[in-house]
Amino acid sequence: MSERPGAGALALLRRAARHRAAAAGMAILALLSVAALLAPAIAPDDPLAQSLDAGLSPPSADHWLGQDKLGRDVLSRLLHGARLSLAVGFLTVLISLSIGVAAGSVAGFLGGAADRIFVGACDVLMAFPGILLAIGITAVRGPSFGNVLFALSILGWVGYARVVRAQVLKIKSMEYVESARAVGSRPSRMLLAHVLPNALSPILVEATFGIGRAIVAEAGLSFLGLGVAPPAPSWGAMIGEGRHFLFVAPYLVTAPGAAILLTVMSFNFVGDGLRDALDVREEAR
Amino acid sequence: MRGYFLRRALHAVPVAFGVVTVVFLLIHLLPGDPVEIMLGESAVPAQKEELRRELRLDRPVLVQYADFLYGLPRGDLGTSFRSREPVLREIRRRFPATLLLAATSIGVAVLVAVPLGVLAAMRKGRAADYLSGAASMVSLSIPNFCLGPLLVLLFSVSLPLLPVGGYGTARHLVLPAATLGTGMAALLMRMVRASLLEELGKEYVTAATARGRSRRGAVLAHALRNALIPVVAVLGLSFGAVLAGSVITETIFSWPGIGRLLVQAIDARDYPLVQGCVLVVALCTVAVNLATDLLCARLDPRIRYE
Amino acid sequence: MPLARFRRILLLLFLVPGCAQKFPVDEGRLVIALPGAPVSLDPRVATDAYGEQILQMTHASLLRRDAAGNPLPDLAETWESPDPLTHVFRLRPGLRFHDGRPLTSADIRYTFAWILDPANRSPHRALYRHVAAIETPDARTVVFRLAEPFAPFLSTVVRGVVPAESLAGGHAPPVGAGPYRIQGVSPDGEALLSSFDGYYAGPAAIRAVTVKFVPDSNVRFLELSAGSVNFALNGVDPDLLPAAGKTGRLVVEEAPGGNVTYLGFNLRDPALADPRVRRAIAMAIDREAIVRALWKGRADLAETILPPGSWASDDGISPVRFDPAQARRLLDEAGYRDPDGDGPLPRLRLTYKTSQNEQRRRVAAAIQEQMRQVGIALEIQSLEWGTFFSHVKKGSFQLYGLTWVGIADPDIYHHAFHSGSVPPDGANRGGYSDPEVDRLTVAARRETSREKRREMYRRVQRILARDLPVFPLWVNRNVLVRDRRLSGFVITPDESYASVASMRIGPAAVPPAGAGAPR
Repeated sequence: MSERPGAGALALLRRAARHRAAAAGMAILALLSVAALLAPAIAPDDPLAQSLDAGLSPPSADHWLGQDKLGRDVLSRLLHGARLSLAVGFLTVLISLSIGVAAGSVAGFLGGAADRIFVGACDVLMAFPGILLAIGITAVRGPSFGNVLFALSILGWVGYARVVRAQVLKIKSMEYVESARAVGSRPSRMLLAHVLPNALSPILVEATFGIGRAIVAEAGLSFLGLGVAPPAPSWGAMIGEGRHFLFVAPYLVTAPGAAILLTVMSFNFVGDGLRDALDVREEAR
Repeated sequence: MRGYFLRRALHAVPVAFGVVTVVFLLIHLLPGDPVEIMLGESAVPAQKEELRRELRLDRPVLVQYADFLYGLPRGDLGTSFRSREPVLREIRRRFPATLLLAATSIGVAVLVAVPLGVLAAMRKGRAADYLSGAASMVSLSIPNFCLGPLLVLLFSVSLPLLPVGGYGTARHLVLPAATLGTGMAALLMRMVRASLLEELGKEYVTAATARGRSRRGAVLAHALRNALIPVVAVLGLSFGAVLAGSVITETIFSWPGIGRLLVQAIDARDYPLVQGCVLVVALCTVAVNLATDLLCARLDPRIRYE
Repeated sequence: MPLARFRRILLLLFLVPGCAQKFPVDEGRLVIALPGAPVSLDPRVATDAYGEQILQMTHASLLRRDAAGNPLPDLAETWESPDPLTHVFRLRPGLRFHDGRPLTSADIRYTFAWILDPANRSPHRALYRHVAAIETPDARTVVFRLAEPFAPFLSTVVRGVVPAESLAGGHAPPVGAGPYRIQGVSPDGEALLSSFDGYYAGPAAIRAVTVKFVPDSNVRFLELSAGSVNFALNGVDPDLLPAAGKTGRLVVEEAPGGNVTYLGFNLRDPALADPRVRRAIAMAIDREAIVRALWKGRADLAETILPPGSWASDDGISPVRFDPAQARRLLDEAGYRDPDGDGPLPRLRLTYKTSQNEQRRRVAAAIQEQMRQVGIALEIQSLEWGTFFSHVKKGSFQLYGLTWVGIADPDIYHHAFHSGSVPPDGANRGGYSDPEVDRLTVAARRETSREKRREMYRRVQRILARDLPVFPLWVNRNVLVRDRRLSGFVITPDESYASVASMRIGPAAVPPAGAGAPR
């Protein structure tokens, strides 16, 4: 790509801005994780405890974000919701990663029929747009934490698998690997030694975006009533319940909405930053 | 061209098959007897048997699968358990509303994204670029179940300009289309910008620019046309995302489309209808993806030879 | 407040270009918002409230009921009972169905015979079990001969009449002889009604009625504020009623209610079969707090399922008091100890089924938390109305919440608590069985003296208050939000829509500056 004078400086500026955004994102996520981990300790109230006579109370000294229709403290529910969202995000990605790496390696190494099945399965799963399949699965299995993980992981593994498979194929064709095989090296060693390190960067980037996507997906499912079962304080469920009171208590929607937005944006910024940083490393080689 | 078309179509067929199979298997994921869940645990055994026969659940799985496949080309997607009407008829009745919403969302997204993307590319590095970049980042990140109620708060509650939900007039279409279209607009804007920048960096553009301003307009138009090809691809692929997003958006705005039908079917434990909705949406996505591929191949001959 | 004025100015600016936006009320159209779609519009089969409410406008019956439950003439202008086993009805002259066909005694006979035919599986069949024969000596006379005396008989003939040979189960509901005829129904959108010129009492003043099915409470409220809906009975959330009053165009009316919301138990379930567990659940629910918070006080506690003020009510029943400590003790006694003291493990897991209605879900959530306080883990299953109702009717539940609508006669105790009244014939969905209740409810049907019946029903109520096969919760006051130009609707305790026929639209008037006039 030909460059104009000054474009180099601009590109650097861009990268710096991205890094700042990524840094901000990391800071926010760190704060969020701490809040989520310590939620039971720092939340002012039990997120499930109702105080019926205080329903729809606006923010006050005792309840910084007010109370919902059943008198539950919004701030406490928000904090515990962070716990839930991060748990769903990380666990989904962990499970998807495991499945994806396994599937991608097997498909890449074995090739042939296994590889074709793999590609077919990926195509079929990708044909279901958005959370449609997740909706179908949770609709059928019912709302629960486990079912949400199941539904989201079933779709999530494809990205990681593709990355791993591409790496495996690339490695397979390299000369020194052929000679290693001739000598009798086991595929698992090749995997550990060569495939995974190279695949790590794109996987990391994909995982970062993946956590954000999983959080939004869980919130969307909970909004529809298909996520974790009530009275669990999911941000999506809070929005779903709170939107009926937009006229009298808009903070019931704006608080969890802002939380989701901030969290997702942070993951996106960090993912962007990581992609930039890791790409730079590729170029430098 | 015909070779490419055949190859792509042949590729789409097993995918469609796979989609059908996955949807068929959905009902077997049920934690229990589908008939009991639909009718209730203490239903009269005679009624359970009747429903089981109607849903063909009393036959071996392979036979059910064959029946399912056989019924598809004939338009038989089963019977809605709740309304006793054929599933396809219920879906057909709601489809136009979703189509209207999807088309409007995509249209609005394109109308907003393309000019903004061009602007951002032309003013790269300047304030307009950063602003639109920031706006698109926010729009990308905000999920539609956050954006929808927010828009309602702004335009129906605080300023009573638009209806909070329902179907009927053009004003009812504004908020749902805005909700669905915003994320797509952000994505498209970024794509247009990136794609145009790439085109603008190419030799024929820089050469023409160096040669003089008089040619610039025509060349830029040419660059724009080339830049828009990958955008068409993204648009086509976004159609599926729009359909999926319509589930939540239609629920928020009580829009009587397929998305809301799916949610109503879920609430009623009407599993034949759930399966039908998921199947129709997924197959539509496959079809649109195929059409997009073909359209892009038509627009950009290079693709056919990849 | 500056924001309100800004809002008003903006609204005016928005309205001016659109000029005088035509509201349905300006066009003489009544638009009713129902919170759900009817399951059936065939009076021989319909049991859900939304269906019944539309039928009250479209189908006439032999008799009607007034607010106190006493019979009034409808299709029949006179009736008499020469002996306890015979009821004779004389029809008015010149009755017609919506399609022009004359309505004669043969149609009455057909309607009831259809319901009685076991092959048709009508859920109302059990109600007419005692009818041995229906005779039609001439076109305007119908004679019902009963196998045994049945005191509530007159209340049971409040059932829409359909023409002879009406098909059932099809998409087109059977025509009726009521003040409005159905022009069209879209299954999840709306029903269009137009006033019937041949109605015996003269055509209704409001010629066009639309019944919209709007399940989302926010949308209902906004449509009311916007004017696209001008009538909603018990359709606006209590939190939004003040806002409705402020629009200046709407009027909020409140009237005593008669429909009891209750908690149903499945007595076949091993845990719920134990009356101590049921009483513990009842004592764990803070009904007053729920009424204050969710209904803004617009409901009264109920100890019986009879409408308040019913002649058969036993006012001496001591209310179930809110006592979580006692609830825990009862659960201990029943053998459901708390496995970990104050910890998260529950003593007992139960499921509670409810509809999709947001208020009902909030009630469920409140009850769920109150159950958690006594160690019961309640799972809430919220189903679409038709599905939920069918599960309830079939007895597929552990706990559920529902409202009895339109109880006209204390014979409901036979229908709901006699051991033989299990679905599909009766409403004893929980499988309750008590020989004394059986004996009393059967005897009370045969008894013609109101005094004696009252005493029997009082004893029944006392037994039920002891056993708690259902736990009566509260009676909501009926709240109507309507356009101020609409008048003539009488809010009856049983939420009947029959008086829509006597509504009229007043002249357009400039709304007074400031808030409307809620009463």
